[in-house]
Amino acid sequence: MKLSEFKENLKDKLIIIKAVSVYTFQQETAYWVNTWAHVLSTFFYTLSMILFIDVLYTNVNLVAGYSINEMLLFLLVGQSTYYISWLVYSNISNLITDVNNGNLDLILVKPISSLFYILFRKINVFGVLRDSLPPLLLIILKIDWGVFSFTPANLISGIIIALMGIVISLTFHLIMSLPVFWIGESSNIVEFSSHLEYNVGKIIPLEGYQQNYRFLFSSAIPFLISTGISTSVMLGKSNSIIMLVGSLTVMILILNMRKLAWNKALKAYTSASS
Amino acid sequence: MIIDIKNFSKKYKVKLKSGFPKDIFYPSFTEILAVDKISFSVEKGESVALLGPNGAGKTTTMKVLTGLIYPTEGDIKVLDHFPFDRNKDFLKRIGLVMGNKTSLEWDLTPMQSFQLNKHIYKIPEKAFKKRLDELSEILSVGKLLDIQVRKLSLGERMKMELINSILHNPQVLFLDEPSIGLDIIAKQKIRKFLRDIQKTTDVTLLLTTHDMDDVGKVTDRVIVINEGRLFFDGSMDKLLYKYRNKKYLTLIFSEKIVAKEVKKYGKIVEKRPSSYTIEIEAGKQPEIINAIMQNLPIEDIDITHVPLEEIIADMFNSKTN
Repeated sequence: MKLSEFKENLKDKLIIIKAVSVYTFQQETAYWVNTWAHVLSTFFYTLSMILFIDVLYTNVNLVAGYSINEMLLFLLVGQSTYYISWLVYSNISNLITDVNNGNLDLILVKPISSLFYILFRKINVFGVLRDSLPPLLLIILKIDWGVFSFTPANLISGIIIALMGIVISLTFHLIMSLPVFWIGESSNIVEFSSHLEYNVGKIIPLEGYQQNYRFLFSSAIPFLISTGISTSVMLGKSNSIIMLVGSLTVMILILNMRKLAWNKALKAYTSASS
Repeated sequence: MIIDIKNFSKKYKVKLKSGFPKDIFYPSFTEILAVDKISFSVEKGESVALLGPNGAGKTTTMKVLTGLIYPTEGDIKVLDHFPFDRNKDFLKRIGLVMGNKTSLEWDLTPMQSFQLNKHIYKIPEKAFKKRLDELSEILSVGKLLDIQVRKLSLGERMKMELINSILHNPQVLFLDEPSIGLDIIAKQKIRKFLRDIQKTTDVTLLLTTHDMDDVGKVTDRVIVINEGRLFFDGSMDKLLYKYRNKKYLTLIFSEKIVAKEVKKYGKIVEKRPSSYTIEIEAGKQPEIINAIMQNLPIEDIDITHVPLEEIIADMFNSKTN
């Protein structure tokens, strides 16, 4: 692809992302009362996690080598990456429904990359901000920031790894949704992979795993990257260069796998009859 | 040539039911031939109906032409593109309306969906506004543009679907049963609209339908597919030539009537508890209706053309015999 073509393509996609964000905002605010109920749910979940960590550290100083403040930072990174994923996560479950009822037809005829549009046709900016700010603020206020001595390199590397981890996890879920094109249903597979992401990536820090599991959950089932590895790098517990290169390699591999799998899935698409 | 299909076939893989546990551990599949080596072409500005009974293969053909599904074999070109490549240039030049599916967001207003499409199709603001004003005026939906889609009637929603699919001025418009479920007034408006835009913009129309009036009022040419094979390609008049002298009368009675009493007026083609459908000669319609009204306890009479399914079945039988 020529540079000018790439620029044009990128510009088109940014225009669509902007338009889609406005469009999703209009949808999210169509039922104003209902939208606020979810804030309570996310807030109380975070509160219960903070209480759990408090109880856990009553009798011990370290868990998996993490102090209470480091564990709270791990929780903050875990929750932040979760909410960022949430911006577009609903598009994956919507894809399964659309393949089943044939509504994918009306998406595939749009003059835009189908894979891009499938992933970004709804961007829940308002919903995510509304649901994430109160609980994240709660964690931020709970952390004693004075105990940390981040280096800028570790902090930036950690943030980049967290962002790559989000892309990797979402791509993994998308690949898990594709069996719907062959077998007609895949919502339970995606649900399983989401639970796996939560249990593997958001509860136990990287250092809590044995070496073999660290490798497994950073490569074939790459759910340790967005939170476990990124927090470890931020805290200086892991080598930032090695982790950056490793995460980048996994991201490139999984994105290519996604493209291949998507093209195969489209060839198998039968489109529900009208 | 806008559409050119040569020897197009499509097979679907279907899972066979073998029962538990074989279904789970060793599922077996079979292939169903939905379309079998059909060939036809459509010129610019033509309006063509793709007809056939349920499961004939017409929707499969349309989905292959719009690039939604991959053909098993055949040489397919639409606007000089292989549709499944879904080239952006190709997709910008086609429009698709599906009677049973909605491209509009249920919780938003049609205008909000149109705005999103404006960005996707890169329609300049001025052209978008002009086109939308024209289309909403022709379809008399200007006042409905800012009402939530879920609050619109089916007919109003279908008009919005039509606007959504042609805002970008497509060169080919594919319509899959566009009038399904609509009342007679809405059907008439949509037919007139389609005919008008076809005449004024030279757009090529390809539609599938079960409604013979759609065919008569919107299209000039008919392609009939049955059991995946093409067996008629010509004008509507040619298709109906043999049946032009036949009409169906559905007679609804206020009390029970024996078949013998009804048989006098025409060949019974359908019998229900309090109604009969008979086949009559079109030329004798007034006198037969008059006689029925005088001699039988009639509550209502419905006059229709010979249904498409029967014409096709009849044609198919006469060909195979």
